[in-house]
Amino acid sequence: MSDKTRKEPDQQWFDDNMRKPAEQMDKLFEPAAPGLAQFERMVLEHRKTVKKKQWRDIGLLWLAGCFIFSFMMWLADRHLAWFIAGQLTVAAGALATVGMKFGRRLRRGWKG
Amino acid sequence: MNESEKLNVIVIERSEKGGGEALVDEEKLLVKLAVRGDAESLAELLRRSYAFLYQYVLKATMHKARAEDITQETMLRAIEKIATFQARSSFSTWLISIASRLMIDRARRSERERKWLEEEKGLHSLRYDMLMKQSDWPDALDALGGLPDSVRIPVLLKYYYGYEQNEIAAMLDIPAGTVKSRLHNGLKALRKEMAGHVGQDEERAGSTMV
Repeated sequence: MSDKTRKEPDQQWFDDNMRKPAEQMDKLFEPAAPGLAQFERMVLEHRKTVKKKQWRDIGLLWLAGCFIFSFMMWLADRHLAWFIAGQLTVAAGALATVGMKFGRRLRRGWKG
Repeated sequence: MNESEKLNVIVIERSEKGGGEALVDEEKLLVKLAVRGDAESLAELLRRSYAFLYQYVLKATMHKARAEDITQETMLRAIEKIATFQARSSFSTWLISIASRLMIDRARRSERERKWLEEEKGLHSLRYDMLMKQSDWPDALDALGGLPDSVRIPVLLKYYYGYEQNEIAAMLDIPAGTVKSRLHNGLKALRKEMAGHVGQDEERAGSTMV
C-alpha cells in the first residue's frame, strides 16, 4: 500500500470524528485580540529589555574573557607545563562538543 | 515618508482592490518591514496572528493558563528573532513552530506526575468553561486531551492544520520517522478512546431502555 493511500483514511477518520469538536473549541475560546497600540508597546518594551540584557551579557563576557586571559598569561609565565595541559584539555573538550552536536545532526539526517 | 507611512499607503491601495490575494501581499509586505526592524509592522503581524496562535496552543496544551503563558512567550521570542525570519513559510507557521518547540521543551522539563496532575486540572477547567458556554463537552476533546503533548502536537499539525510530515519534523526539530510513529500511535489511541466512549454510550442507552 502506498503512503498516500494509507494516509487518506486517517485524515478522513479525523475529519469525521475530531474536526467538528476542535472547531467548536476554537470558536468558543476565540480570544479578543488587544489593540494594535498594546502590541506596539509590547514590541518596543521587549526590544528595550533584550538590548539591556545583551549589553549586560557582553559586559560579563568581556569581564570573564579578561579574567581567563590574565590567568592564562600568568600560568604560561609561571607553570608552562600546566598551561599546555590546560590548553590541550580545552581543545579536546571543544572537539568532543562539536562532534556530539554535528554528529547527532548527521545521524538524524541519514535516518530522516 | 517613512516606511510605516509607505506601508499605510500601500495597504489602503491594496484594500481598495480587495480579495485574498491582496491580504497575502499585505502580509508579505508587513513581514519585509518587520524583518527590517519596523515595530509597527511587527505589532500588526502579531495582532493578526494572536487569536490563531492562542487557539492552536490551547488545543495543543488543553490547559488555559499554560496556553496564555506560551502564547505570550512565543510572541516575545518572535520579537527577539524576527530579524532571522526568512519568510520561507507564512508568519503564522513560523509562530506555530516557535510555540510547538516551547511546549515540547516545557513538557520535557516538567516532572511526569506533576504534569499529569496539571493536565487533569487544566482539562477540568476547560471542560467547565465549555459547559458554561454551551451544552456539552465532546468526547473527542477528552480523547485529544488524553494524549501526551509530544503526540497531540503532531496529530493536530497534520490532521487539523494540514502540514506535511517533513514540515512537522522541521517545525519540531525531530526526525521524520518519529513524526510518523507519533502520528500512527496518536491516531490509534484516539480511535481506541473514541470506540470506548461509543461503547459506554451504547451501554448507557441500553440500561435506560431496560
